[in-house]
Amino acid sequence: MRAQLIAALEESLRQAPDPDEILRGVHVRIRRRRQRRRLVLACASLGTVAVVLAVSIATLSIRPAVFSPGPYDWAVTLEPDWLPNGMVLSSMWSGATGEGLSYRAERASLHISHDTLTTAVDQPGWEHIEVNGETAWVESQATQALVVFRSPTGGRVDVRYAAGSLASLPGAAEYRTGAVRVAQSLRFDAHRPVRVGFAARSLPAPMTVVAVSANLETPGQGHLGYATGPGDQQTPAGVGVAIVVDNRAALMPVTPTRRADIQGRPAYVAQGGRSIIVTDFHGGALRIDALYDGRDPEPSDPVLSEDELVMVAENVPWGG
Amino acid sequence: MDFERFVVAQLPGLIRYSTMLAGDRDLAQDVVQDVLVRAHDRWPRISATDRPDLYLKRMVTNEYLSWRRSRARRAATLTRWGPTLAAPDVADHAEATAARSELNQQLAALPGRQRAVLILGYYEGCDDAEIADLLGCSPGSVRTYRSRALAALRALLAEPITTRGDR
Repeated sequence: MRAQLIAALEESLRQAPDPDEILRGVHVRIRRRRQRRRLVLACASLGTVAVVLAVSIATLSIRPAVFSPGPYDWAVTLEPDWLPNGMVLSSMWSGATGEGLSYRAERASLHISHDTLTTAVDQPGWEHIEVNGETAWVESQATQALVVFRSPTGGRVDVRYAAGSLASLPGAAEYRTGAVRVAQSLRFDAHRPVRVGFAARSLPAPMTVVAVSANLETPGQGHLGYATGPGDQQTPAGVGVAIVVDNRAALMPVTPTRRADIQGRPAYVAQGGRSIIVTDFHGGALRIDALYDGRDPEPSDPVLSEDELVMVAENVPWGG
Repeated sequence: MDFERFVVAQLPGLIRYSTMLAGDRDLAQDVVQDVLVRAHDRWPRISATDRPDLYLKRMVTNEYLSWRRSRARRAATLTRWGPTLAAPDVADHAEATAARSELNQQLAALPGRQRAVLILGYYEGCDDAEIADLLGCSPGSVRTYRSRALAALRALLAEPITTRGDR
């Protein structure tokens, strides 16, 4: 029904950004572009043209065989020397675009992420503070606080200290103080390998691991992201698969369709053939998603066929 | 019309369209900001067209569909590459998802062009020719995108719906 569809579309408008914030950003960026243009004109005689080759998914249309991925070595370098009371590390992730740590306490959560691609940290309207002698920004609300600052390598660090899902701690000041203190205590010299208890034994094209996350609350569970490209600032990730093993209901899409068993377990197809879900998978569910991240628009048809996703799912051994 | 006055007049519509397309506050903001900054550079040419408003809507559509910006690549790798665990706010994401209607979740999962066709047709009131012009495809392709999108949503929609292009 038309009204039903319009109502569903209008739900998104709750996410609408602030027009004033957009205008402020536009004015700042126009000013910067003018300055940059003047600089570029001055340096034009020394300029060179960089040619970047886009990842073409057409190269994947010929898939000669099944490939075995190699080992991966992603680790988290973040290490907070101070944590709010009761915080326990619940998950960590690392990949081509950054790294992160998540902590949980009885009534609060703490997330630290280091985005190595994004360098812009200036947020119009946020409060300026200092973290270890460097400028940082704070956004403080009733149930959470976010501190943003630049990492030693030039990336963006977010420290978010927030109320847990069950109840809120009283007072915004506690979140603000806690987030700032965590940010001040953060080091970037750790080496914590991120490992999960499963891996792809075969893939439909040559791919490498571009991201891994581990759910430390349920050993072995987590996610592995494989892609044909590196997924860094210069080159998109191209075509890939995400393999997730998780015991949370969020893994199951709204309307899955039952299909033939995989690994002798109930299996479903969802998202228009872009996802395969296998339930009763070692205490959780296994989900395989076809992914695309290219400079060309995403094709309307799935970039990997259902058969290819099933082949991946059949070949995910569990090592706990 | 100068650029500033045009932006003030068109901004609410652009934000609404971009937000529906992106389904995400940060991405919608990035898309509109990027488009307005580039439109400022090209303003003499854009203002000379018959419909500068449609020109900007096409820019928003292309910006969203192209996924060229680092924000999109970041989202692709951090969120799409690890749908439930790579993003730091696991519980927050799950709760936000649960709060959305099933239909809204299904809309968000549609490929970009299918989603754009539904928004332009059912919300913005464009006919197939206008949508084709905005998406840079044929009216036949628009009908195909719509058909696929509605097929994906059919289980959640109570009865068939029509657009100006169907009449």
